[in-house]
Formats: sequence, C-alpha cells, structure tokens
Amino acid sequence: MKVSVKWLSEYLEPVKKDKKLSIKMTALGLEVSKIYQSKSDQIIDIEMTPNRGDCLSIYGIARDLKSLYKSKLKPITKQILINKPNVNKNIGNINHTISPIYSCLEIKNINNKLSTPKIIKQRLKDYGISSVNLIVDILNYTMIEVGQPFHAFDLNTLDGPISVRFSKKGESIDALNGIKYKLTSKTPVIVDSSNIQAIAGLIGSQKSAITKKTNHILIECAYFLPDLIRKSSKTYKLQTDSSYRFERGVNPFSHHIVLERVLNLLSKYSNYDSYKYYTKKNIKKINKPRLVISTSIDSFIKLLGMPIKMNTIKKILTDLNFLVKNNGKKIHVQVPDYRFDITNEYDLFEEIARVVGYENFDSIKLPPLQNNFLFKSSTENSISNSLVIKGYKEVINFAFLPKSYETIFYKKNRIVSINNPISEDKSDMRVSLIPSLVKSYKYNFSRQNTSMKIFETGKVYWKYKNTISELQTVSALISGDNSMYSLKEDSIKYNFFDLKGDLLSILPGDIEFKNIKGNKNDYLSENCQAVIFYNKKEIGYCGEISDKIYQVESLKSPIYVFEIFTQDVEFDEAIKYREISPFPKIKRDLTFIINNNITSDEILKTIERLRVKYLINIRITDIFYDSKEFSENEKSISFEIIFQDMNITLKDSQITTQIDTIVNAMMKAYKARLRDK
Amino acid sequence: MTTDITSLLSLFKKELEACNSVNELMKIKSNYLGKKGSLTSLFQEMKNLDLKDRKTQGALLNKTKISIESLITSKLEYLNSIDIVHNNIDVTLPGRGHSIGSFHPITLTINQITKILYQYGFTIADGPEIENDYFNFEALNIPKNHPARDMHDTFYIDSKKLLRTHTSSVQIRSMINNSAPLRIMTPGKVYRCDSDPTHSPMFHQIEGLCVEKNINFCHLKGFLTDFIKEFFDNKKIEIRFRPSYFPFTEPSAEIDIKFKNKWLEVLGCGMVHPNVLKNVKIDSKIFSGFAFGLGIERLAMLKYGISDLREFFENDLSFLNQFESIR
Repeated sequence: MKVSVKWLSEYLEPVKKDKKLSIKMTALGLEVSKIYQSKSDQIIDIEMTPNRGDCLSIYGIARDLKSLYKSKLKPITKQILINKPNVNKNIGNINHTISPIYSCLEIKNINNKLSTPKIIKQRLKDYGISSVNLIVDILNYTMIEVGQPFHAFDLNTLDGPISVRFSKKGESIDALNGIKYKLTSKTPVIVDSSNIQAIAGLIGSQKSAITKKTNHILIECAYFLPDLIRKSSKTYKLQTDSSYRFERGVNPFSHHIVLERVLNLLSKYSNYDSYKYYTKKNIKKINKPRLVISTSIDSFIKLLGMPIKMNTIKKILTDLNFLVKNNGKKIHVQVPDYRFDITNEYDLFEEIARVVGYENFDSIKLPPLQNNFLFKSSTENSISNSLVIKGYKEVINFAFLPKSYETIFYKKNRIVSINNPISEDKSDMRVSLIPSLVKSYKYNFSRQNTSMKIFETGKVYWKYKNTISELQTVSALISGDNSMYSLKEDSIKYNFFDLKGDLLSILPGDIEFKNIKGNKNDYLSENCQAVIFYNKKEIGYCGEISDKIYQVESLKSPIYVFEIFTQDVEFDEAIKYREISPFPKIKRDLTFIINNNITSDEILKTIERLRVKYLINIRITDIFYDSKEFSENEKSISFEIIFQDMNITLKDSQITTQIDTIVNAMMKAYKARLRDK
Repeated sequence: MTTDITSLLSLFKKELEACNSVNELMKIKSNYLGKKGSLTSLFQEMKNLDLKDRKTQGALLNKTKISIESLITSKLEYLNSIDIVHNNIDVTLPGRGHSIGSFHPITLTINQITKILYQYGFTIADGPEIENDYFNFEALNIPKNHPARDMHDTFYIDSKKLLRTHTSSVQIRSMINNSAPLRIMTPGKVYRCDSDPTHSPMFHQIEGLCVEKNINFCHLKGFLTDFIKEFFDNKKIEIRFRPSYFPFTEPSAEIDIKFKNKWLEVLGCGMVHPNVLKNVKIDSKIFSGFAFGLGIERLAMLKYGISDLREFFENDLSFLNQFESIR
C-alpha cells in the first residue's frame, strides 16, 4: 500500500513533520519497504500483512498511528447521510447471506464531462491507478482514502432494479477489463432484470459502465462477506483493488459516512440535481459483529513476560478505538467494527505489545533443557560425511522434473504429478534422484568439467494406485578420469569397482552385491547392475546407466550410479569385542581354474559354509582369463587365506588338512581344479 | 678373509646409500654379484682355504650374499616408488589420487543451525513433503478462503494433497505425537509456486518450536537474539524485532539484522497461537511456547556473500568447489 504523507497528514497532522515516521510505522507493524519522492509528495510504501484490512486506506493508517501521537484524528466528514426509509425503485432483492448490508446512492443529472482535478489525478497515479473519468476517479480516490470500495452503474443502461443473488450455471458477464467470464453456479452477482451487471465485489460489466456521457448514476457501497469474494477472486483468477479489500474485511457500519465523503467530493468537483441514499441490511449475517473479549492483566503478563499497569492497557486500547471496561484485574473489551483480525485475548496482547514497542520488552535467556538422548547423526548425515571424505561433491536439485525426461529413466506409472506446475520443466516429482544427478553431470560436462564424483540426498516420491510414498534416499554418480589429480600415471577411467569400493567404505560391515537376472532397474544397464544388501536387507541399487540414457541424452563417457534408501540402512552399533589371538597368523595362497559363470561371491559363500577350522579371513587376490592356458569359459581365481588359533601356534600339517577340505569342496561343487604353478 | 667380507659389506652399504637411480643400482649389483663381481670373487677364493675355514667362511659369505640381495631388492622398490624424483623429494608436487569432496552450502548452513539449536535442547523432527491440506493450513489456523493463503502460493497434487509450503506442518505432527513439553527443529525442503530472482519454487527452511510451562515473549526475544549472534558469530550485530503477522502465532514478530547499513529480514517468529495448541490438544492455560522459522538460502547468501539465488540449484562445480574447506 502506497501512502502519500501529505494525504495522511490531512487526517493526522503531526506526521507531516515527523522525521521518524517510517521507523514508527515499522515498529507498529506497518512495515515500510520503500520511501520515495513523487512529483510533489513523499510516498511511503507499506508491506501490509493480510490481517490488516483496516489499514488499506489513508484514514485507516492514520487511525492506527494515532496511538503514537497526542494529536486527534480528523473525522472523514462533518455530516452523515441519513437513511430515508422510502422505497427506492432502483433496488430489488438483496441476498443478505452475500451482503449483510447493502447501500446505494442514486444521483440525478450529474455532470461527468468535467476533467478530474490535478491533485486527485496525481494521488491516484502515486497509488498506481490510472485516471478514467471524474466519477470513477472520485470513487477510486475515496476508496484509497477511506478503504471502502464502490461501484457505480450508469442507471440509463440498467433494465429495472438491481438485485444481489448467486449466479446460475450458464450465465456470463462481459467485464470492464474486456474479458467475458462464464460464471459457475453460486458466484455472488449484481443483476438487473435481464443481465449480470457485476461479479459482486470483483468487477462490473462493460454495459453499465460510467462514461463521460453518463448523467444518472447508482453508486453501490456494500459489505460483502470476505470468504465469498475471495472465492470469486480465486475462481476467476482476478484480483482487483476492490476484491483485495473485501477479502480482508471492510467496515460494514460506515456506509453513511463514506458515501457522504463521495458526495462532498462530487459537489466540489462536479454538479448534480439531487441524490437518494438507501440501505438494506440484516446484521445477523455478519460474523461476530461487535465482539466482546474478556481477559486479565495476569494473562497478559504470563504470555508477554512484562509487568504492565491497568491504566496503560486501557489507554492503549482506547486509543485504538476499543471500548474497555475493567473489573479489578479483569478486562472486557469491545472490538471496533473494522478490526476483523481481533478475535481473542492473544490478539489484544499483540495490540498492546506493538504499541508498547517490541524493542521495550526484555530479553530473557531460555532455560536450559537437558537432552534426554545423545546427539545421533542421521543415517543420511553419516553417509554424506563419508561421501565427502571419499571426494564426492554434494549437489541439490529441484525435486521436480519434466515427465518426458523422467521417462527416460523409469516407467511413468509411478510418477507423482503436480496439478498446477510452475513451468513445463518442473511438472512432476522425482521417483529417483538419478535423473537429477545425470542432469547435474551434463550441466558440468558442457562446462569442461568431464570428471566428477557427485551425490545428492533427498526424498523421492512414488505413486502406487492411490497412495503416495516418500522415501529418503542418497544417490551418487561418478564419471570420468580417476587419475586426473596424479602425475606419472596413465589415465584410468572410473569404473564399476571404483563405485563399489566407495560403497564398501561408506557402508562398513555386512554388505553384499547381487547381480540381477533380467532387468530389474530400468535406468541401469543390463550388463552392469546390482542390488545392494546391507545387514541382509535390500537397501538400493548400483551399476552403469542404461544404453537408452546414453543414447537419448547423447552421453559418451561411462557413468556409474548408486541409489540407497536410507530408511532400511541400519548401522551395526552393538559391537561385541572379541579377544585377539597372540599366536601367529599363517597365510596360504590358492589358485583355482573354475567355470566363468561362477561368481566370486558364490565361491566365498561355499567356503564359508564349510566352517573351515582356524580360518579367520579369506579374500580374492587375483583373477584372470587366458585361453592359452585353459579353456575360454574358464577363469583363474586366486585367494589369500589366513589361519590362526586362539591357543596354539598352528603347524603345517594342521593347515594342510584344512586346505584339502577347501580344495575338495571346490572340486565337488564347481569341478574346479588347482592351478599348477 | 673375514675382514675382507666385513669391509666389502660396509663399502656396499655406502655405495648403496649414494645410489640415486635404477641404472646405478644395476651397476652396483653387477659389481658385487656379477660373474666378475667382488663377492663372487670371494666365493672363488674359498677353494684355497682349508676345510674348517671353508665351512665358517662359506656360511658368512652366504649370509652376506643374502643380505646384499635383499638390500638391493628393497632399494630397487624404493627407487621405483620415487621415480618422480631422486633422493630429494619435491614435497610440493601433487599428491596421488586425491579428489576433494564438499557439502552444498545449503547443507552447511542447515548443519550449522542445527548444531546451535541442539545446544539449546532442540531435536530434529521430520515429516512428509507431500502433505495434507489439514496439516499445512487448517491445523495452523489458516482456514480455506483465508487471505493468509495468499502468502503461500501452493502446488497441489490433488484436491487434498499439496507440497508443503512450510515446515510448520511438521510442528503440528510433532505436537500431536509427542504433546508438550517439547523443543523441536524441522529442517527441510518447502515449495511455493513462485519463481523470480528472489523466489525459488523449491527452497529450504528450518523452523523451531518450544512449548513448555512458563515460556513467554521475553524468552523468545532472548533466545533468538542469542541464536542470531551465534549464527553470524557476531556479538555486536544489530537486531530489530518488529510486529508482523503469521496466522499460527500471536503476537507475531519479524527479526531484521543490520547488514551493510540496511535492515534485512532474516527470521519470522511469535508465540504459538492458542487455536494451534487447541488443534493439537495442548492446554494453552498450562503450556505456552514460541515458534520461529527462517529461510536457509537467504542466510546462506548473507553468510557466504552469494548474490544469485539460482546458483544454489545449478550445481556448477565451479560454485560447489568453493565450499571444499568447510566440513
């Protein structure tokens, strides 16, 4: 809301010379976002919070500021209009569930050919409204000045009296903004006998609009229920200066004052023959009119933590036009008609606190709280920390992507879509973080960064039938040159085993990788994908991205990714210490020729099942393929096996027996044979 | 002859010490162990000794040969390992195979805030990002058709589900599940249908909530003043509290800090609205509390001097690399 300081001073004189005006306004809750000079005036731009409908006018702001000055507020008018209970043939049925109070001012033989005075034009311009014609300008001017929106109809264009009712399906209006609105049923409208003349509180029709030739007018001054106007505004995606005020609440009980002000201005700048003021009401339809709130000084002190005197409370609230009665420490307060935001005692406390000034409250240390549990890093945090140490850079991407892009990675049936996306490229929620990582990769690749290790943590969203699930994940991508930071080494490209090595580092303990037969994960290559198991639970996938992604995204350099669902990751924290043997470890190497299809994991498991005595560790040390030495579908695989006992130094013969057990089992299970050295 | 062997070994050790390259080492090896090598010639001299001496000298010679061989092997390994340099390692050359990881500045900022709040007894609470209208709005005293909804341009999934516009929904869930007293903090992603140089459709927030007996507005002031001083690591930072409006707090306040001679809004807060407490079945006659919320991107921009909001989500490595030193 843009406020002219001169205009404001017409109602509250001392603001004109107050150099601290903007600071005071901000401290009172009317946040000043900008101050600037217009042609002949200083303009203060206020960021108005949605609760303060009462301050959407010059007068409203002056009224709020009054509590800070000793000076009195100038009234809007000296006289008021008096409702003559004569029937006005121009007004038909008023549906009071739309408009509990509906007033009109009919003016005959008014001259609208005169031009709008400079001061009004300038003030409208400063506010941001362009000049139309004298009557319309004066109505807009008064709206800014007192906060009541008006609408004027050219009575010569109306067919019979106007009524207020809900629309019926199929009705439409050619609005002032040049748009034809097809109305839904139950939109509050103003109608004459044949046409919709306005969407109530929102916009009028072109047909009954005021032009320079207009000489017979009906000015509508109404109180519309805020919820209904807001609904119309949302339905027709239109917000006007009028609907903005009605939504936030306009004083229902001041029609006789504000219309008098309109009349004053019209008399001053135009001329007319006669007028008629008419009002129809059903006050019961107003939500909680003239609410009385009861509270006590003690409640105030308890919530605000500051001692205060009854007189101070009374003075502050009275200055803000509340009617205050006190009975000992109890206070009963009647809320002014225009303060729709005040509904309970907390609201009153805020009124008092903002006038006292937040700066004047003490700062008290928050009492310490003994935490019942130790700080425990979340699984995502632990994994992120490890990844950063392993050289990964964290990225954060938008959680939405275009569906067309996501479907390169997985099937569309799991994707959760947004009903009202902000743009086409942010239309659907992520089923996985992998597409985002590939996007980040491409972005950097095109900027000459061809090697990278990146990761992201975040939620992914899955739709299954009608339920949506959210899963916390950590995903990573590696690609490019592993040795870019080293001298004297041939270029080594990252491959699957670099990724796997990193996974082994970040998930210590019982971790397993299983080949997936048949393509389980669409975004991974058929030839290089694995399911990751951690402490026997399936926790995610890893591998190389699929051929389809390489093709569609024109990627050339190999890309490896993993995706871990952290809710299933449980770090084994219950460590049971085992005693260490003081006796020497004995190492043996074994090399087998074995069928190519048997995985190293199978072999290790087979040996594990033998429960070989003294065996404390076994690992694969070499693997090679050589069709000269053995057949094409065979490979050579070497193991290092460590033996140790808790109580004795092992003898050769004891170990040989164990080695024989292993060799026999390998022969039996896989027809493996020892390789001669 | 024994002295010959001993002096030969010590001469060998001196030469080995001085040796700087594999080529030189191969020369030394052949000088001692080659067909005409000095150790080989000592073996040849053995035939001139009597049987008794031959035995003892033979053992000594063998032992010496083994130790020379093993010294040469380890020297060779050493020379191979340092073939970038010779005996003077240039320690300023690049290290091997390293790559430096980094956290995103948003994560760094969240971690810094949660660490401070943890010291005050706040623990992290989490909740869904696809949220019900009830938890995001109605339970927070924002009914349908309330103008306060204009403060939140909302993404909808369907008529009931939306992308949460603030992490306040987590506060509601926590109060329902844990009741009072409680102190929680809720970092996370939030979404608003708004995009321009100062607004991003997805951004990060952290909110805090403290509901206990005898908590009042002065505690809110004291605590948040301490928090801001700690976060900016500046005891003299100028802070301003001013009245504002949030449907779920009353009184509500916004906190500005003086930054480059201008007031900048950093945080919204207030005393928890009694309607909110009522919605989660906490008796506002017994318990009171405060809540606060802040935008992570905004604080990260102030803290690191980042001027363009969009940079956070572009993930340019040239941007990310600048945060390598913070863990």
